Amino acid sequence: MEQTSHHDRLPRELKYIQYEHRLETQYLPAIRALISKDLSEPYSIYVYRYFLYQWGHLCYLAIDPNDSSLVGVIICKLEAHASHSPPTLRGYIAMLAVQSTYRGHGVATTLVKMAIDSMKARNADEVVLETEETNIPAMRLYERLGFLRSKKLHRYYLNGNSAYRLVLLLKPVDPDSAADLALDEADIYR
Amino acid sequence: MQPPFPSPFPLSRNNHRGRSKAIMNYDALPTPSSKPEATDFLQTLLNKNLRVGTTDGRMFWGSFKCTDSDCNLVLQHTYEYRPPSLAQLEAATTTQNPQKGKVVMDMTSRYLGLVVVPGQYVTKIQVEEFASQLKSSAQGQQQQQQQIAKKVEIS
Amino acid sequence: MGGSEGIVAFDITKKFRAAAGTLELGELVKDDFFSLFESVGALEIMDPKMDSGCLAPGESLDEDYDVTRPLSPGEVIGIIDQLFCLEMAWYQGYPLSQTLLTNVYIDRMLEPEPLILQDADFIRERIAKEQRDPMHVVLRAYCLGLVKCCWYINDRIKFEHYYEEEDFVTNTYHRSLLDSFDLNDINDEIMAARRLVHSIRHRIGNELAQALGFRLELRTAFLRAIELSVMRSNPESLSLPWTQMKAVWEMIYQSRHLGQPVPEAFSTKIQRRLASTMPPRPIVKLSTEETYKHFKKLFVDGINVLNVLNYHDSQSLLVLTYHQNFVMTFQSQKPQPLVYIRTLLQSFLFKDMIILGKLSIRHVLDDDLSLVVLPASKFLDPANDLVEAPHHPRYALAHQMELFRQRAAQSYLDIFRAFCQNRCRIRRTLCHSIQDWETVQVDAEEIDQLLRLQIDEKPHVYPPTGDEDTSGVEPTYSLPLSSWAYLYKLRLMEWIVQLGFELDIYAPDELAGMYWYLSDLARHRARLVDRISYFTKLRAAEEKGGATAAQEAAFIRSKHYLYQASFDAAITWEMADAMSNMYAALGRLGLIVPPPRPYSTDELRYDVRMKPFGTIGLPELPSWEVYRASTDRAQVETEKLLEDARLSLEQAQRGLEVVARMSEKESFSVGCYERWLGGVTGQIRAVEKAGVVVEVVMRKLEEKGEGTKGKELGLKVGIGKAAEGEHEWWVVPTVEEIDQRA
Repeated sequence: MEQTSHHDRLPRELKYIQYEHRLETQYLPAIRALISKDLSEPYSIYVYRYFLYQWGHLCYLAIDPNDSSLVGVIICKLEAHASHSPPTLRGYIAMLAVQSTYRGHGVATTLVKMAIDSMKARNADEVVLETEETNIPAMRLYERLGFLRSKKLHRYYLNGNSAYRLVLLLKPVDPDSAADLALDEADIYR
Repeated sequence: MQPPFPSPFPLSRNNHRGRSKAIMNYDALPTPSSKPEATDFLQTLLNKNLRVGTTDGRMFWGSFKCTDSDCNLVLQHTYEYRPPSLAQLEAATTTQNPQKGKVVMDMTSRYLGLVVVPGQYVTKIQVEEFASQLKSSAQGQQQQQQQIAKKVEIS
Repeated sequence: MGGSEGIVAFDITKKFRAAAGTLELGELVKDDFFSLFESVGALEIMDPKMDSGCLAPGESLDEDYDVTRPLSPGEVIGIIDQLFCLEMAWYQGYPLSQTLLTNVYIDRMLEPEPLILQDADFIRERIAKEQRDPMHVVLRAYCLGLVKCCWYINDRIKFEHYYEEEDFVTNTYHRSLLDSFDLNDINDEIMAARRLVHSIRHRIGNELAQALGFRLELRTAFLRAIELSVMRSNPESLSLPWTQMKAVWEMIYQSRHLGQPVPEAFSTKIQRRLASTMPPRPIVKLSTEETYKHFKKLFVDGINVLNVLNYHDSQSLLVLTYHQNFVMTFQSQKPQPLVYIRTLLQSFLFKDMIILGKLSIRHVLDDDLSLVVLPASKFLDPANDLVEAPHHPRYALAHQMELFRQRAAQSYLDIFRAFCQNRCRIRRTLCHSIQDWETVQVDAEEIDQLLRLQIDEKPHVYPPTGDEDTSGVEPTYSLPLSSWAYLYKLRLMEWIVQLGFELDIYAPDELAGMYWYLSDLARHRARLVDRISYFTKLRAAEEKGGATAAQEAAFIRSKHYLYQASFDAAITWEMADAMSNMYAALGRLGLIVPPPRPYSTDELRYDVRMKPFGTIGLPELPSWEVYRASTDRAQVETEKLLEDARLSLEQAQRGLEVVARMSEKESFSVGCYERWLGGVTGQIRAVEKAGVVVEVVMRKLEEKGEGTKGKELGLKVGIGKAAEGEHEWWVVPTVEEIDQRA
């Protein structure tokens, strides 16, 4: 075939950048569009504000240098997890999306690695996320990096699908806080 | 990411949890020109009930929680009000006495909870105050105040 | 708009826009008490993905569908059959807004809210009875029955322990589901419709008349079943309407071809008028075949769940509960028991804190204690309660036992409650329960000490040395209550691990380690059962001669139980050992390759995996070094690993074959014997399949010689979903011979 598809030349040419507030006008609509297309759950503008305003430094963009278009994005947060004592610093990967034509070239893996590196540099104890049970590629991606499934969440999403909670521990568990770690606030038996 | 929309149904409207500044007559206020004035003005509105009209003719009634430079409004405990459709109007005209020249109909309303009304669709913003708490000195403004209409009147 | 009197509104559009315009990009004016995190649940207006009220240009909210148009019998059957699909989707956990409330007839019937039954109709104008389309009468009666069923079921589920949105959505979107109407009046309407159908059977033809009749009959029976379920006695009579439904359902399914679909009578547009904090969602499409299977299962489960009322003893109750939940795996070909059935189970078990409608918690607890650790014991003698002298030893026994019951009752019942939940929740709930049982055990130990002083128990050397001379060996006491608590705790810990397999929590290269840990837990349990048996035998021997017939019977029953329990523990121990060795070998041979995991270490992952067990004092969580050494068995040759696996599988198989021959009573599975036996045979199949895997790998290794790895062995190993295997707790890999040159 004569035709080389767009992504054959990429992704090594892609540019990876950290999100900054000045990029909002240029990239926020594209970020929303990309994620809205990929994720089963719709989110309002303020969900993006919530993450980007406080943790813009944990958001990375993959950009096609030819036309500066958005190819992929990861959005995260990092905060003390209060139900643990002493509180652990928990990173959370909220959203990850890559344009379908660019998939299979490690763009998502690069974005996740950048986010984890950044969280590690900020002293995170662990990184967690949820992913749809049916999303095999996503689970494989995270598990290749070292994440483990810690629990299954029945009918977690609006479409009726279940999810796995994935955990990547970055520092050893403090034995004294092990009890708290076992008990998650969401799981307290009613 | 965790699922949104846990759909808690409110037992009561609890919109005075946050701070709510003094009641005032908004018509008497000048249009804010400086940034401190502007933020102050917006702060005053927090936790008050707003009625926000949208380009499609609906109106959203809820407690004001947040805005940004694009006027994307966050409203809590929101109800949606929708004017009657043409078909409903026609039905009402035939059943009601048309001699008076007008028909009275309920706006249909429903509870939506927490909403974001994007600035690009906002056509009108109104703030509610209790008449009894308004300074009586607001003379001359009465004609501009609109009595809340539970009914819409179509002439 | 609420409270319009005395409220004035000011137009601030211009000022607001001007003020907001001065904000920087991304800058917010926000109520301090409002967290942006909450906005995850906000609906964005005018976004068609989130705003159900958002209309496309030129689109109207009005339904185009005319509910007054005449319907043919075939169309009524078509609508009813479509309603079955939606009803089942609702039982499965989808909201009414995506299921039954998408039907135009039901919508019109419920909105505006009817105040009298006559108005509960999709045609509100009064039409003389004889002038009504008889098919409208039939459809209305059916819908009345359906909606009333939904109201009862919704109400029942709300009363029990369930997880909103996860198990079930009770939201009715401000629609009243005929709450205020009398069931008898609705029954009358259905009966009238059934008579009407009968009277016009010549006109519409017998076949169609019968088909309509079956559908109405099902509704009558369903309402009857619901009505009866509040009683908790006489399971035979309770099961009658369920049996009837089961039979009628077959007739309904067989007559489905008579239905004529009316897709226009269903619309997501109705969501636009529902009070809902949810984004618009599509109508759930459940196929006729799926719907048929799920309803069939519902009726069978409805009959089976009543068996719980035939109480025999607490152990078979637990086995019953466990098997009831056993079929609940998300994957299963068989549909899982619906939350409504689980609700019935819960209410049969616990309603008003009276177990099964007739037993006190004390009764069930004492029965369990008597079975497991205290057969014919004076600790459980009700006569103790009659002693009023505070210094009498029996008074003290009664007092201490009551303290223990109060301490343990809640934890004990919580196990049953946990097992009424969905599988994911069971596992997570048990992670909390073991912390609780850890303290129950500690408290029980204290009470054990006080009790043994009261009866002046003589200590014994355990385990028995066989020597006459026992000097230098510390004798110990029977410690019945803490043994009992420990036994439950160990079982809970094993369940957590086993549910981990079932829910596909563990990565392939974790299987060797997790099966090793399971075998370690089962080993502790086997030893504990041995210890309990030893002390029970001692007491039986001491009391021989003086024992009454009832006491003898209690000892025998306990002996049977402990015999069965020790088999159960030993089988788990052997099987888990075999699996661990097999997976260790597969890992070593490069047939299971761990992912690169650049951000993790083996030790950190062990921390994550063992979090729930980290705080348990007994058995103490093995250190990472012990875990790794026991799993890898680095000093043992691969052939030996496989050989050990083979031997353990043989042992397990022998054990399972003995167990499979146990009767209903011997296996403590009265009321659920078939399900129990199904589990045992599933385990036997898993053992056999694992045996084949071990054999194939051994043969290849012999052919190719030590040191051959991965592809060169000419083997490919796959690990499927646990629930698709022979038994969900035993993940057996598939082995495929491949051409290694390829």
